[in-house]
Amino acid sequence: MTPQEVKELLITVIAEQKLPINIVDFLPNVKSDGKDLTTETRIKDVIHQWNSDGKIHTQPPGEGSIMKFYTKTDANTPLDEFLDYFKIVPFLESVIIDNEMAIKYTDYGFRLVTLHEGDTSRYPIKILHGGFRIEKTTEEEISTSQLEGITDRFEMVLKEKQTKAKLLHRGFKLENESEKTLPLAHVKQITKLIDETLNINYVMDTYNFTAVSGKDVLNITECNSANIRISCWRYKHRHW
Amino acid sequence: MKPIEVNEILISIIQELALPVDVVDGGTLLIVESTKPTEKQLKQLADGTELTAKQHSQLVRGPELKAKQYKETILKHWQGEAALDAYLNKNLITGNWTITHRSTLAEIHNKIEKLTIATHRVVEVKEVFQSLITEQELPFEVYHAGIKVIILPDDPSNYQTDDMKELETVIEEMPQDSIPEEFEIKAYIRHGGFRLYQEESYIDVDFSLVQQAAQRLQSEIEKHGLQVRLLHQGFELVKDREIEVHISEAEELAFRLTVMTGINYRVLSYGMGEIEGKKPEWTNEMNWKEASLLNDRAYPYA
Repeated sequence: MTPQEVKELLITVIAEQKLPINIVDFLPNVKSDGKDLTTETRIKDVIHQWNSDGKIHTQPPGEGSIMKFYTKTDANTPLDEFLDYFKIVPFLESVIIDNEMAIKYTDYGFRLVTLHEGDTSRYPIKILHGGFRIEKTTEEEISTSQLEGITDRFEMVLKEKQTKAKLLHRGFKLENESEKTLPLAHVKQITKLIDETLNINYVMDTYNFTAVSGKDVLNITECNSANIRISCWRYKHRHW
Repeated sequence: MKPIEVNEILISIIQELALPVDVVDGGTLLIVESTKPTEKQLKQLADGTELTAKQHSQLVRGPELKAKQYKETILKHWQGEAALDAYLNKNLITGNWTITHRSTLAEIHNKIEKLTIATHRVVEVKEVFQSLITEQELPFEVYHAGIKVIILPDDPSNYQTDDMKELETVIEEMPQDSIPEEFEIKAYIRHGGFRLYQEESYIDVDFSLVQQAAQRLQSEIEKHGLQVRLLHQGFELVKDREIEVHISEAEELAFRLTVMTGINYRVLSYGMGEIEGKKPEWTNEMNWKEASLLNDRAYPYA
């Protein structure tokens, strides 16, 4: 299956479950500052895990000897970040409201990478051109069991078609609702809460700020916008 | 064997294979290498006190700054005050040489070997790249960018031009007190290799023939203790007509190519290209004409 066919499969499975979810394409020509090395590294990590038999040329991200101490992106669950998305969004919104933070967010959507096991070419890894985001068409609640129904059916078809696939969520951009700057402490607070409450490895990634002459950039406390996303790596401290 | 003899053999092979490329001699390459202090040395330098991040950074950068100073001293003795001034203040190089102090020789050699491995796969990678463009029906053409033949001698003293020997003498006769005592600073003189280029702006060749030429060169010169490394830096993506396409499309192609092949390609620059007798228009994200998708570099060789 090509990435396009895998995306179509997801759309079909969502339609079969009659869920109020649209898949909206992200084309590369839409200017976005969501291009991130974090997701690229996570994709390389997934490919490296898929390539356990060493059939394809991959670059293991990071130093192998050190990286064994870190938790990695789960390469065997195609839709776990899709499921997580439906937990993170309402939680993010509630944190912003509960803490009276004047923050708006932009969803960077998903990237999709696939590996067709029957592809005997030297380059069986494929990636969807651009990405897509999730859009709920109604306010109707979507239950966990409905989402798991999607996952089960999706994974079953992938198995039948000898295809491995992984949706990777690229995180969110946080900005102040007005023209004002955003305290980095608020951003860190949000990621900490996602991490501790939902047990999803969220961190503050890159952020934009306006350099002020004479002010040490190492002591910046405010930014114009910040990106939060799943961390590439993390010590397995939770499991010790 | 001298670089000029290798150049002559390379040219004759290229002519035999009817490759539509010219060869440019890379001239003299000077690498000034500094060794960063170890943690133990840092502690000694700090006189046993705790280092702040800023102090640590300054001490780590110290050797690099000393290497830079040494590089400039060598350049002054070798090429004169005017050449040093042009190099420092106008970024101009008068003559056929390259000079660097930013990486160690071992780091540069590691990069060369990494880029050589990636270069073995260029023919297939270009096909994959072309297929991505066709799949998206994008108005782009792909050309090769930055092809270089590097010679790594088993014994560098046996592979020198007169210019390189002259530089060696200059360094030997320089006052040795210009080298700081606390850091290990070394200067290496190497030949800069041979760049293959076409008179037209873009290199459009059958790369398997270039690989064949490099293999033949290897078999001709290996008995002289010389090893050939063929380096392919990346691709030039050129719009096939005047059309507005956002540069993100080129970046997306680079990203997909990187993921598929495991070789890191990045859009490092984009512009309007050269139009003879015409001042280039202001480039923006939509009207660009050509974009360079380059692999990790093996600077200063490529």
